[in-house]
Amino acid sequence: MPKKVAVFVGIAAAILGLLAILAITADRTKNPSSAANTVAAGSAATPSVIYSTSMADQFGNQQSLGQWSNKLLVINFWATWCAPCLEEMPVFVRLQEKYGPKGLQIVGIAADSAANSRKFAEKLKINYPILADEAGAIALSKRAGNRLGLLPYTIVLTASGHILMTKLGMVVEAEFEEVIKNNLPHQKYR
Amino acid sequence: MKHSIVKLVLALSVIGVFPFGYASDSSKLVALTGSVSAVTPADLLDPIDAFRPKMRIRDAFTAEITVSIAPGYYLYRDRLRVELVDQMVAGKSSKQSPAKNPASNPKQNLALSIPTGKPVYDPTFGKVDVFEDSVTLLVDLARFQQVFANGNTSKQTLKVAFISQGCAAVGVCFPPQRQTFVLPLIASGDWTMPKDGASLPFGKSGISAMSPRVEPATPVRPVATK
Repeated sequence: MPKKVAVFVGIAAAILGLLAILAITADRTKNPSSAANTVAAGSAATPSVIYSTSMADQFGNQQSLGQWSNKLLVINFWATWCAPCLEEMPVFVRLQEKYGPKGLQIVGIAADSAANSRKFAEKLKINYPILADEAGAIALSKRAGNRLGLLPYTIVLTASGHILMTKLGMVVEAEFEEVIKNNLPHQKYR
Repeated sequence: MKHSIVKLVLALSVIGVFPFGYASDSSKLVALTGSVSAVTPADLLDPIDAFRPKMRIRDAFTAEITVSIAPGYYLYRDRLRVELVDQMVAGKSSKQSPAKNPASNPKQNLALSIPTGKPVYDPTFGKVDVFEDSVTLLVDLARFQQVFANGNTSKQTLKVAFISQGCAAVGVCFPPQRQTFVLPLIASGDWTMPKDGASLPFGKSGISAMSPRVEPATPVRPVATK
């Protein structure tokens, strides 16, 4: 291979590489949160924001998320118009039944009316609190790292007030159960 | 020299210049069509990019909304609606004087003609009709001709909201989207009658797709989630 050709190929490739790096950098600058799937330290989603949130439950009674701060708290954002949300809710019912006595508290926050939420909660035999706020639910989920406000969206907070994980899309039952089992409030429960 | 070139190619592949570096794009494709557990915000489009509605006046009695739907996304047929937000005659909003214009009660749904969607089975909702790629729906504006028929030749403009709800096939759903459009209306007498007298939806005969067509209205509020 002539030396000149090799040098030319090398220079061309280097320029392409530089352009690729610039493109990637520009994309990240334009959309800085696009790579974040979990809530990072310093993001808007601090446990205190979550614990200080109050919403009406499906029966119209005001509930503060802070009342469950001593539990392993799973907050599942859902809506009656969201098929994957409804599909995964039986998983939460099973986990609440199994680990509720051991310090797990699942709370569903519906981006829906109280009446709609109540109807579906009854149909799905939900055994955990359902809070309903048509606009507030999506807003809170966005503050908790759900950039596009998509559903289902689930966050897990430990009893010590640490955001353990966030999950966009349906949870995978076996994996999720492992997370729950390994983070129950007291060692004796595991 | 050969070794140098090989090293250069390998190095550049790491930073994404050569095809080896396209693995990230491939994994994105898998994520959109495969495992739900792979869903990340980075893989998903903003709703304004996933569902792009354009609206235009089709003729004196009809407006047309065409929604371009990005690959991997779909809209539910039964969750499409168009709501009358305001009717402005000679620049005067009906919201300001609803009593004088009882026919234009804000926040009412306009009659739509929506094509049959693709039937799919949803484990939760059962059989539902969805749209992929694109959908065009017609909005019945016939009743607003009454203003012109009453001899009022003033400029008439409607503000309407298009409301839709859809999901990404990977297993996440968008909240209902609401996009507002302003539609300048034209008296039916100002339109050229078709030669064949073809019928339109909503039972309004005598007018069909014809010229002149008004250019797409500008969304006045591109996207505001519910």
